[in-house]
Amino acid sequence: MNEFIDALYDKLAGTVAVTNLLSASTAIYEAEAPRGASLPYIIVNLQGGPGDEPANPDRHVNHVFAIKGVSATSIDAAGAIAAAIDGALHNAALTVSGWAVFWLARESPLRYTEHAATGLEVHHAGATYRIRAGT
Amino acid sequence: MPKTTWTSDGMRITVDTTGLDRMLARLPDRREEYLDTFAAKVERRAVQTIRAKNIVDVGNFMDSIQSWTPQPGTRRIGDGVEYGIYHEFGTYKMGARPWLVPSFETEYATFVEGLKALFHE
Repeated sequence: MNEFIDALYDKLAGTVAVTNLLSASTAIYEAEAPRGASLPYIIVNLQGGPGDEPANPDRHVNHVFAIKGVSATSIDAAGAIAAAIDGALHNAALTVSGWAVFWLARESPLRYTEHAATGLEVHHAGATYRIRAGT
Repeated sequence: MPKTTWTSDGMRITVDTTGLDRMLARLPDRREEYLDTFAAKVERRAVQTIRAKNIVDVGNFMDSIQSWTPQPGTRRIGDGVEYGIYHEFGTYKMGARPWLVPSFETEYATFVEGLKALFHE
Protein backbone atom coordinates (compact mmCIF):
# COMPACT_ATOMS: atom_id res chain seq x y z
CA MET A 1 0.00 0.00 0.00
CA ASN A 2 2.85 2.38 0.70
CA GLU A 3 3.68 2.58 -2.98
CA PHE A 4 0.26 4.04 -3.76
CA ILE A 5 0.53 6.61 -0.97
CA ASP A 6 4.02 7.48 -2.18
CA ALA A 7 2.79 7.89 -5.76
CA LEU A 8 -0.08 10.14 -4.67
CA TYR A 9 2.33 12.18 -2.56
CA ASP A 10 4.72 12.59 -5.50
CA LYS A 11 1.91 13.58 -7.81
CA LEU A 12 0.53 16.20 -5.44
CA ALA A 13 3.92 17.51 -4.28
CA GLY A 14 4.94 17.83 -7.92
CA THR A 15 1.96 20.00 -8.82
CA VAL A 16 2.66 23.68 -8.22
CA ALA A 17 -1.04 24.57 -8.38
CA VAL A 18 -1.47 22.33 -5.32
CA THR A 19 1.62 23.19 -3.30
CA ASN A 20 1.08 26.95 -3.78
CA LEU A 21 -1.99 26.63 -1.59
CA LEU A 22 -0.27 24.82 1.28
CA SER A 23 1.77 26.05 4.26
CA ALA A 24 4.78 24.29 2.75
CA SER A 25 5.38 22.32 -0.42
CA THR A 26 5.79 19.21 1.74
CA ALA A 27 2.63 19.74 3.78
CA ILE A 28 1.04 16.54 2.50
CA TYR A 29 0.54 13.83 5.11
CA GLU A 30 -0.69 10.28 5.29
CA ALA A 31 -3.58 9.59 7.68
CA GLU A 32 -2.94 12.50 10.04
CA ALA A 33 -0.75 15.56 10.28
CA PRO A 34 2.11 15.62 12.77
CA ARG A 35 1.31 17.43 16.00
CA GLY A 36 1.66 21.17 15.52
CA ALA A 37 1.74 21.00 11.71
CA SER A 38 0.90 24.33 10.12
CA LEU A 39 -2.35 24.69 8.23
CA PRO A 40 -3.23 24.49 5.43
CA TYR A 41 -2.19 21.01 4.46
CA ILE A 42 -3.38 17.89 2.64
CA ILE A 43 -4.28 14.56 4.19
CA VAL A 44 -4.26 11.35 2.17
CA ASN A 45 -5.99 8.42 3.81
CA LEU A 46 -6.83 4.92 2.67
CA GLN A 47 -10.57 4.59 3.30
CA GLY A 48 -10.99 1.01 2.12
CA GLY A 49 -11.93 -1.09 -0.84
CA PRO A 50 -12.35 -4.71 -1.78
CA GLY A 51 -8.62 -4.85 -2.51
CA ASP A 52 -8.15 -4.65 1.23
CA GLU A 53 -9.19 -8.23 1.61
CA PRO A 54 -6.37 -10.60 2.49
CA ALA A 55 -7.36 -13.05 -0.24
CA ASN A 56 -6.25 -11.15 -3.29
CA PRO A 57 -4.38 -13.74 -5.33
CA ASP A 58 -4.72 -12.03 -8.68
CA ARG A 59 -2.85 -8.96 -7.49
CA HIS A 60 -5.59 -6.57 -8.36
CA VAL A 61 -6.03 -3.39 -6.36
CA ASN A 62 -9.27 -1.46 -6.01
CA HIS A 63 -8.75 1.12 -3.30
CA VAL A 64 -10.58 4.22 -2.20
CA PHE A 65 -8.56 7.11 -0.80
CA ALA A 66 -9.91 10.22 0.90
CA ILE A 67 -7.78 13.18 -0.11
CA LYS A 68 -8.62 16.56 1.37
CA GLY A 69 -7.35 20.03 1.97
CA VAL A 70 -7.49 21.26 5.56
CA SER A 71 -7.58 24.98 6.27
CA ALA A 72 -8.32 27.27 9.21
CA THR A 73 -9.06 30.19 6.89
CA SER A 74 -12.40 29.28 5.33
CA ILE A 75 -14.31 26.48 3.69
CA ASP A 76 -13.62 28.20 0.37
CA ALA A 77 -9.89 28.06 1.02
CA ALA A 78 -10.18 24.32 1.72
CA GLY A 79 -12.33 24.05 -1.40
CA ALA A 80 -9.64 25.71 -3.49
CA ILE A 81 -7.18 23.05 -2.35
CA ALA A 82 -9.77 20.39 -3.19
CA ALA A 83 -10.10 21.83 -6.70
CA ALA A 84 -6.33 21.81 -7.14
CA ILE A 85 -6.14 18.20 -5.94
CA ASP A 86 -8.87 17.35 -8.39
CA GLY A 87 -6.95 18.98 -11.23
CA ALA A 88 -3.89 16.95 -10.36
CA LEU A 89 -5.54 13.57 -9.85
CA HIS A 90 -8.89 13.12 -11.59
CA ASN A 91 -8.39 10.91 -14.64
CA ALA A 92 -4.64 11.51 -14.41
CA ALA A 93 -1.88 9.02 -15.10
CA LEU A 94 -0.24 7.71 -11.95
CA THR A 95 3.06 5.91 -11.87
CA VAL A 96 3.30 3.31 -9.14
CA SER A 97 6.28 1.07 -8.83
CA GLY A 98 5.36 -2.54 -9.61
CA TRP A 99 1.79 -1.72 -10.67
CA ALA A 100 -0.07 -0.70 -13.81
CA VAL A 101 -2.64 1.86 -12.75
CA PHE A 102 -5.58 1.88 -15.14
CA TRP A 103 -8.03 3.95 -13.11
CA LEU A 104 -7.67 7.04 -10.99
CA ALA A 105 -10.84 9.05 -10.63
CA ARG A 106 -12.71 11.22 -8.19
CA GLU A 107 -15.89 9.72 -6.75
CA SER A 108 -17.66 11.54 -3.92
CA PRO A 109 -16.90 15.05 -2.74
CA LEU A 110 -16.49 15.74 0.97
CA ARG A 111 -16.82 19.09 2.67
CA TYR A 112 -17.27 19.86 6.35
CA THR A 113 -16.27 22.26 9.09
CA GLU A 114 -14.96 21.08 12.39
CA HIS A 115 -15.66 23.15 15.48
CA ALA A 116 -12.77 22.44 17.81
CA ALA A 117 -13.16 22.79 21.56
CA THR A 118 -10.76 25.74 21.53
CA GLY A 119 -13.22 27.69 19.40
CA LEU A 120 -11.09 27.18 16.33
CA GLU A 121 -12.93 26.35 13.13
CA VAL A 122 -11.09 24.01 10.79
CA HIS A 123 -12.41 23.40 7.30
CA HIS A 124 -12.02 20.20 5.31
CA ALA A 125 -12.73 19.79 1.59
CA GLY A 126 -11.74 17.14 -0.89
CA ALA A 127 -13.08 13.93 -2.32
CA THR A 128 -12.72 10.21 -2.37
CA TYR A 129 -10.64 8.87 -5.23
CA ARG A 130 -10.62 5.32 -6.52
CA ILE A 131 -7.46 3.69 -7.78
CA ARG A 132 -7.59 0.45 -9.71
CA ALA A 133 -4.42 -1.28 -10.72
CA GLY A 134 -3.05 -4.65 -11.65
CA THR A 135 0.34 -6.21 -12.01
CA MET B 1 -33.08 -13.83 -22.33
CA PRO B 2 -32.98 -11.74 -25.52
CA LYS B 3 -32.37 -13.92 -28.51
CA THR B 4 -30.33 -12.83 -31.50
CA THR B 5 -30.86 -14.59 -34.81
CA TRP B 6 -28.55 -14.18 -37.76
CA THR B 7 -30.24 -15.01 -41.10
CA SER B 8 -28.54 -16.07 -44.31
CA ASP B 9 -30.40 -13.57 -46.52
CA GLY B 10 -28.35 -10.55 -45.60
CA MET B 11 -27.26 -9.00 -42.36
CA ARG B 12 -30.45 -9.04 -40.41
CA ILE B 13 -30.77 -9.37 -36.74
CA THR B 14 -33.85 -10.38 -34.89
CA VAL B 15 -33.81 -9.63 -31.23
CA ASP B 16 -36.39 -11.29 -29.11
CA THR B 17 -36.75 -9.17 -26.00
CA THR B 18 -39.79 -10.82 -24.50
CA GLY B 19 -37.70 -12.31 -21.73
CA LEU B 20 -35.94 -8.99 -21.11
CA ASP B 21 -39.24 -7.12 -21.10
CA ARG B 22 -40.57 -9.57 -18.55
CA MET B 23 -37.54 -9.02 -16.33
CA LEU B 24 -37.67 -5.25 -16.65
CA ALA B 25 -41.38 -5.24 -15.92
CA ARG B 26 -40.92 -6.96 -12.61
CA LEU B 27 -37.67 -5.23 -11.66
CA PRO B 28 -39.20 -2.09 -10.10
CA ASP B 29 -40.79 -4.09 -7.29
CA ARG B 30 -37.81 -6.35 -6.85
CA ARG B 31 -35.46 -3.35 -7.07
CA GLU B 32 -36.91 -1.70 -3.98
CA GLU B 33 -36.84 -4.96 -2.06
CA TYR B 34 -33.28 -5.58 -3.21
CA LEU B 35 -32.10 -2.08 -2.29
CA ASP B 36 -33.66 -2.47 1.16
CA THR B 37 -31.78 -5.71 1.69
CA PHE B 38 -28.51 -4.17 0.51
CA ALA B 39 -28.92 -1.05 2.65
CA ALA B 40 -29.62 -3.23 5.69
CA LYS B 41 -26.42 -5.20 4.99
CA VAL B 42 -24.32 -2.04 4.78
CA GLU B 43 -25.96 -0.75 7.94
CA ARG B 44 -25.11 -3.96 9.82
CA ARG B 45 -21.59 -3.95 8.42
CA ALA B 46 -21.10 -0.34 9.50
CA VAL B 47 -22.11 -1.18 13.06
CA GLN B 48 -19.69 -4.13 13.04
CA THR B 49 -16.92 -1.89 11.74
CA ILE B 50 -17.54 0.75 14.40
CA ARG B 51 -17.41 -1.95 17.05
CA ALA B 52 -14.31 -3.60 15.55
CA LYS B 53 -12.45 -0.30 15.38
CA ASN B 54 -13.48 0.45 18.93
CA ILE B 55 -14.95 3.84 18.07
CA VAL B 56 -18.03 3.43 20.18
CA ASP B 57 -18.45 6.03 22.91
CA VAL B 58 -21.62 5.29 24.82
CA GLY B 59 -23.30 3.69 21.87
CA ASN B 60 -25.07 6.80 20.58
CA PHE B 61 -23.06 6.79 17.40
CA MET B 62 -23.51 3.09 16.71
CA ASP B 63 -27.20 3.22 17.55
CA SER B 64 -27.72 6.15 15.19
CA ILE B 65 -26.65 4.30 12.03
CA GLN B 66 -29.64 3.95 9.76
CA SER B 67 -30.73 3.74 6.16
CA TRP B 68 -33.63 5.53 4.57
CA THR B 69 -35.33 6.05 1.22
CA PRO B 70 -35.19 9.63 -0.08
CA GLN B 71 -36.89 8.49 -3.28
CA PRO B 72 -37.66 5.20 -5.02
CA GLY B 73 -34.53 3.58 -6.38
CA THR B 74 -32.27 5.35 -3.89
CA ARG B 75 -31.08 4.46 -0.42
CA ARG B 76 -29.03 6.57 1.92
CA ILE B 77 -27.07 5.16 4.81
CA GLY B 78 -25.69 7.43 7.47
CA ASP B 79 -25.47 8.40 11.09
CA GLY B 80 -27.47 10.67 13.33
CA VAL B 81 -24.65 12.32 15.27
CA GLU B 82 -22.60 15.31 14.21
CA TYR B 83 -19.25 13.59 14.77
CA GLY B 84 -19.74 10.61 12.47
CA ILE B 85 -17.99 12.48 9.68
CA TYR B 86 -15.06 13.23 12.03
CA HIS B 87 -14.56 9.50 12.50
CA GLU B 88 -14.94 8.80 8.79
CA PHE B 89 -12.59 11.49 7.50
CA GLY B 90 -10.69 12.71 10.55
CA THR B 91 -10.15 16.05 12.24
CA TYR B 92 -7.11 18.27 12.34
CA LYS B 93 -6.00 16.49 15.49
CA MET B 94 -7.24 12.96 14.83
CA GLY B 95 -6.70 10.59 11.95
CA ALA B 96 -9.69 9.07 10.20
CA ARG B 97 -11.20 5.80 11.39
CA PRO B 98 -13.37 5.01 8.38
CA TRP B 99 -16.53 3.09 9.13
CA LEU B 100 -18.85 3.79 6.19
CA VAL B 101 -16.72 3.59 3.03
CA PRO B 102 -15.13 0.23 3.96
CA SER B 103 -18.54 -1.17 4.91
CA PHE B 104 -20.05 -0.10 1.61
CA GLU B 105 -17.08 -1.37 -0.37
CA THR B 106 -17.15 -4.75 1.33
CA GLU B 107 -20.87 -5.24 0.67
CA TYR B 108 -20.84 -3.78 -2.83
CA ALA B 109 -19.25 -6.88 -4.32
CA THR B 110 -22.20 -8.94 -3.14
CA PHE B 111 -24.58 -6.25 -4.43
CA VAL B 112 -23.35 -6.71 -7.99
CA GLU B 113 -23.48 -10.49 -7.75
CA GLY B 114 -26.99 -10.33 -6.32
CA LEU B 115 -28.13 -8.02 -9.07
CA LYS B 116 -26.81 -10.43 -11.68
CA ALA B 117 -28.71 -13.24 -10.00
CA LEU B 118 -31.86 -11.12 -10.00
CA PHE B 119 -31.63 -10.73 -13.76
CA HIS B 120 -31.04 -14.42 -14.27
CA GLU B 121 -34.06 -15.52 -12.25
